[in-house]
Amino acid sequence: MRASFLKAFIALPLFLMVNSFAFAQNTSTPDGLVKFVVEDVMTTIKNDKAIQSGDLRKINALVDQKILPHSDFQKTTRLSMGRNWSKATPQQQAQITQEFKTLLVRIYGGALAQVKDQKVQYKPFRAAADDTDVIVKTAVVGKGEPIQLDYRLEKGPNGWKVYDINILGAWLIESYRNQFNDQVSKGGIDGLVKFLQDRNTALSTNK
Amino acid sequence: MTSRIINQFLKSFVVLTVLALSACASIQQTERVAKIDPFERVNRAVFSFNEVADDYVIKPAAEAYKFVLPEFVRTGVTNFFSNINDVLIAANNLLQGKPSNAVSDVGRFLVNTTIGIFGFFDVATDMGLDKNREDFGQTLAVWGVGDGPYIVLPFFGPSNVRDTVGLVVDIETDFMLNTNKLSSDEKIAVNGLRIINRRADLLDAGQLLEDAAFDKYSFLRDGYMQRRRSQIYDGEPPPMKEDE
Repeated sequence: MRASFLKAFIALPLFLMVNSFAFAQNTSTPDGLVKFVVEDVMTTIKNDKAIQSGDLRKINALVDQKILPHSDFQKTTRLSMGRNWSKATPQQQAQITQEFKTLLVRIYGGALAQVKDQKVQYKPFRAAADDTDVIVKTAVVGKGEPIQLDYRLEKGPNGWKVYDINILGAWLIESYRNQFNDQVSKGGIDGLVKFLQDRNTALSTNK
Repeated sequence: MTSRIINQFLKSFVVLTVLALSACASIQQTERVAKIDPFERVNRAVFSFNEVADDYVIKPAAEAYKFVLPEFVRTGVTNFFSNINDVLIAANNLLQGKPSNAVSDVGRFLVNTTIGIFGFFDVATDMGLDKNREDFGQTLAVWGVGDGPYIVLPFFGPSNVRDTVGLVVDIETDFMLNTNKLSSDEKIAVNGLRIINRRADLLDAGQLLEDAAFDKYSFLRDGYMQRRRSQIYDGEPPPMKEDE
């Protein structure tokens, strides 16, 4: 009895250590990185009542700390803009990236606030060792139907970065192509910048 | 009875669409959009109608429903309708030449109907029998039928010509709409529950969509087309041709 208790006492921390060690190692692969970040974020939310009740300040801090370092928003924005990207001055490009990021972080935060007892299922990862652009497939399983959620990552000088996500079969960049294009054809690049600024202001005063 | 009404409704809608189109003044469209959504003007009108119907009738009903019933009951209702639908999903998998998926669907139905108590619990998923998503529109696509122009259906929402035909077949073969075990009043009640329950499942996502879209109409359209494409290829669509 006592021996088994002692064994568990020693084995548990050892197990945890090995586990976190394995995690730490795994972040060099795209699927390992996605798994590490997702689990980290989910655990944080589940242990934080303020986030669950929709505390935007805390959600934004969470996104800033845990998610942004692993994403490439500039690439997301550039690809969403398509050929309109080259029509914008570098300053406008920076502005658009910043505003789009603010909008997406807000929406992502809204989705995170809905996390309760969901679990994430990781689909088998297929890629060649020398691939630099890969897709990591997951499904969010809660009550009711699982939600398909895939991540597209690119390997850059600073490691793997997420630049596109797929929700229920639709890629974010592909979905925003027309949205950006419509605004640009209506009011040019300036019109787009203004549209994004107005949308973000409206959303931040709404809540 | 109900299905006949819906059928009539769809038919008259198609006629109306054609009529409206002949009177349709052109609106500014890019080449790409003109190809996929030539009926944009009519579609936008139907879309606005659906938004109003949702705001005033369906969404409030779904909110009340969600407020009154605890989550496990609503999940049970979702599972119940989903379980009955597994039979049609199996049939579609057979028609698409995917017999092993069909076997899994039938297995799901048997397990959930018995151990899962008439489908209220989805025990099959926990046992590793994953739910497949199939309908007749996807079967037509596998047979080689193209999307056709995008269409927004009254009440049903985003669709295209092929999926509208698929929907008519789905309705004709739907158990809850065609069973003679239920009177027509009972059918209306059961299918009303089905619609409200489904809408309640989507309530949380609604506001996010509202915030995310620059233009909700085209955002939903482009999302629908991508999602259908993904479903047709069972989540593994070949990369899109880059035209830019």
